[in-house]
Amino acid sequence: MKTLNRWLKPSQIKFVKPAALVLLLAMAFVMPLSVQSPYVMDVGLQILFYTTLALGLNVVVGYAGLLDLGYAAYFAVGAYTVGILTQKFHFSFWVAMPLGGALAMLLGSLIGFTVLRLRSDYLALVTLGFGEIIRITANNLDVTGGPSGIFGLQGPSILGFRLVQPIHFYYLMLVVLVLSTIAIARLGSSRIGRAWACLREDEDAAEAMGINTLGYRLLAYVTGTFWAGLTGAVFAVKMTAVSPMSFSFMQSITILLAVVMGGLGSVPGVILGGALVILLPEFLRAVADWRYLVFGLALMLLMVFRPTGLWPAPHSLKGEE
Amino acid sequence: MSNILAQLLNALVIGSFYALVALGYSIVYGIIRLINFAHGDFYMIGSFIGYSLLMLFGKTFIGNGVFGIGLAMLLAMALTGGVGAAVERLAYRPLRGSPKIILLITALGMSLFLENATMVFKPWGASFRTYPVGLSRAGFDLAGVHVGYAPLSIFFLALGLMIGLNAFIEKSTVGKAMRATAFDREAAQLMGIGTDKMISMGFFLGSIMAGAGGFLAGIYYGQVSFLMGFIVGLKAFTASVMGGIGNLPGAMVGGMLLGLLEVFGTSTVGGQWKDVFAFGALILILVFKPTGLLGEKIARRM
Amino acid sequence: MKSKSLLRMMAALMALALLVLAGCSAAKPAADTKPAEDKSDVVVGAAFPITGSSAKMGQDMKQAIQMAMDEINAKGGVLNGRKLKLEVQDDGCDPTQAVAAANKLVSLNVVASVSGYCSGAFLPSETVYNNAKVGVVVPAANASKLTDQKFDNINLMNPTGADQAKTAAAFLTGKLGAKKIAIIHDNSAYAKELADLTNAALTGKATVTMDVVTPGEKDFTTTLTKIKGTSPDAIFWTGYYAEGGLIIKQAKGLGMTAKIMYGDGSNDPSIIEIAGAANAEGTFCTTTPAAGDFTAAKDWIPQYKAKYGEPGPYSAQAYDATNIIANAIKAAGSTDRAAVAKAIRGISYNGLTGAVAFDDKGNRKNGVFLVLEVKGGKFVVNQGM
Repeated sequence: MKTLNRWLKPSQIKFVKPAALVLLLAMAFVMPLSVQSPYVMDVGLQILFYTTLALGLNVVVGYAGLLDLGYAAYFAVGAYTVGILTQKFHFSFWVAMPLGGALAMLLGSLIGFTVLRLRSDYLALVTLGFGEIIRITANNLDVTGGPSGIFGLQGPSILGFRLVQPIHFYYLMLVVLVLSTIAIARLGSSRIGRAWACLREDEDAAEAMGINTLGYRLLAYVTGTFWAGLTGAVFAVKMTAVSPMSFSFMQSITILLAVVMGGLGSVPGVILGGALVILLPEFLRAVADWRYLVFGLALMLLMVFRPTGLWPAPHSLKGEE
Repeated sequence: MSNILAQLLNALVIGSFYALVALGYSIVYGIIRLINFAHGDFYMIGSFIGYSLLMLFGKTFIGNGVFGIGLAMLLAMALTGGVGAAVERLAYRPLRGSPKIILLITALGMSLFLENATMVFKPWGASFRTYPVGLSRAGFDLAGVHVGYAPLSIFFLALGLMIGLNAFIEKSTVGKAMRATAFDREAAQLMGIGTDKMISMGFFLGSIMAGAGGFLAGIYYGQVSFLMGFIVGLKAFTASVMGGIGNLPGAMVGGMLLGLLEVFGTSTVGGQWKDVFAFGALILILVFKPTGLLGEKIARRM
Repeated sequence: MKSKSLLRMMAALMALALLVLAGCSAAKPAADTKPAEDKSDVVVGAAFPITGSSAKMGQDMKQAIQMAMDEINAKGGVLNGRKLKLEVQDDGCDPTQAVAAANKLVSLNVVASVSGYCSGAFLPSETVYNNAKVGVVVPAANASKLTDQKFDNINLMNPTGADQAKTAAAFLTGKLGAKKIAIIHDNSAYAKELADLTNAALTGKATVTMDVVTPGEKDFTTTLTKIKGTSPDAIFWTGYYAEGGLIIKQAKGLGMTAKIMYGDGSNDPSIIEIAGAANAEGTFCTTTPAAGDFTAAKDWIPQYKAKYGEPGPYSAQAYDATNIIANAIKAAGSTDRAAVAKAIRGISYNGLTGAVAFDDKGNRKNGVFLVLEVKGGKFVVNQGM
């Protein structure tokens, strides 16, 4: 704050933020080249996946204030679409991936249209229910491979170069993440974003102002599901397998935790949250069975002491009185 | 025919458990409009407390007979009620007035916390525990089906608890104060009602019901595990919504109905679709009759 | 306001940078140079659940591996006095964690690994081991799909579901003389596969009904009532023991007289406890032999008991797996992963679990399934090796 003012001239301060971002981006690009360990690569990849997912969920929960507890279902839809289309129907990955996103979006709009008119608390439980329905269905049907899922997927190829190594997927996801960040940050400060903020703060007032609440909620929800679908598509080929076990309620909770911990509605916060949600359990591998206990405690403490998250959005939720 | 009768009997028992937990959900929602995600875990905690008590009693003079079981049940219910009240005091009260989403996330965190605390707590543990006593198979035969006293008792016990609870809420002074708090908290405060106390009371009573359900489930099925509350909680929420949230007889009806639906679903399409059936029912009700079958009973404004 | 958030951002960026760097430094660099005379420990990895509901299984296997390593090290270790060192990673019976665990083991320079309890979780991690050329001996997981990809470095200690299905089908129609069989599974990867394979093995020999229940639930009376209506001669449960015990208890509670049999997922004394000794009496279990069933293990069991208590159902396999890896390292004469993996595949070893050899898919040659029966509240062998 004031210290910064003391060290730098005012004209230089405005360069700090973009400089920091460039630094971070550079680090992210360089990391896989300097570190040989496949383990670090795997952790880095997981961070990229979770941050992208968290960004998508952020649109639903952070921007529009809709508590979605079944987000992993759309992640599953993207993954299974790619799995089935590439393996059984020999589609190219680059065709299957947007189809995965589109299918997730379609499902999202069907579900959203049905339940988004409900009270926020009902919404939470219904989305949970839908998440479970999708997971159970994927587990039960033969076309999705049943409980064993789909495996032996081939990596996609770009101009003849086949993506096999984790490092390839790392860069692919990094590109996806950067694009997502730009898109979602833009969305947040756009007119749509402001309508969402209005909706989130006071729904009745928003209605009175003539904002089509259902329409905007649907837009937020569907945007979120599209992102989950895309991420799921890449996840499928990175893992070379799609298993229903990867899309449980706990998965949805982990993504939610990333958003909440980082800061609802805050893009840098959500990225931080995504990183923490992966790094903390990895550092605590020795006490692994306390992981979810700590998650639960963290959620509660965060809500009491810092509900706006570790890196809050500039205009955060106010209490309703 | 006997098959249908047998399945109805199954539905009766399953429904009773859902109803007991749903009662708690309804009370809490009626009074502070919060879906307490952790409520299903109170059911689980009740069953584990019962387990520890019965193990303890078995080693002492109290024994594991009818007296021991009865005492264990009452204690388990009371202790679970205490846990519920404590949860409200520690986690939810500080956040009263916060946006709904904050409260929901806290409740979620509490649920995770309770489940995993049970898991790491060594005497209870990650695997399941087996109750040292169970209920006998004794019963009578009716139309080719063996009707056990145990499932019937559970049903009537649940019914009795519901009637008792409903009478308390409707007739007693405390109950009236609770209803006033639920209807309009500010006005109730102005009238000199200790609304905080009433809310605690609501949690206490609701958790007692959940604890009763948990204990009975432990005795009836014989097995308890730290995740057993999660799915039961979801189903109980479905049941209370089906009957009309905030409505106690509605919770009972909803519970029974859900039991029937699940039994029907399992015997026709198969056990792997059972949960899909239950959640599907929830969604249908919310789309077509969101106030539930018997109508809601909550405040229009808080 | 603005500068406050700037500082916060700087702080967070620094924290993130530190975290990443810490994570980088925490991982050891991959082995690159080969010193002239290497006396360092030879690292062998292990990945299976050590948390969650299957934690006990993982613990049992970990202890058996450690026991084997201690013995080998006491006798001089491998390759001229180098000691074996165990690295255990938790896979939490979850595919993503199993992949992470496999990657972690690879980065810790393991020469070979004893991995795999949950088939569904282990499947995707096979690719990781294969890419790194790490030889794996699988002590517990045995879904047929595990060897379908024909990786040359994956070897199963146990015969697969296909063999178990044949044994089960033969016993059901043979000794139990069942003509109508109700198969129940819980739709998990392993149980469903066993159910399907048993169904296939029974075609033409018996009429079969298939039913599914949801794991984690407590009430199976609905499904059982439905099955009761078809009056089966026998019930075959292919899932795990927590539900298995309840199914036995509730089936008896409904007055069902069908013979009850279950697969090796339910092979655990707890099933008798849950069902109640009276109810479990006279039920059968197909299983890979456990320590107590192997004649060669007779002396080993008391030694294990003295250190760790009762051996688990896969302790003997894990013990053998460790010795196989040690022998393979000796046979290969180096810690080169590919050479060791090849030596594992070609191994011929006489251990607690009998004569061990692997076929070209990685399946155990001449694997055997026993049929146990509950008599007097305990499992005894009904149909032996």
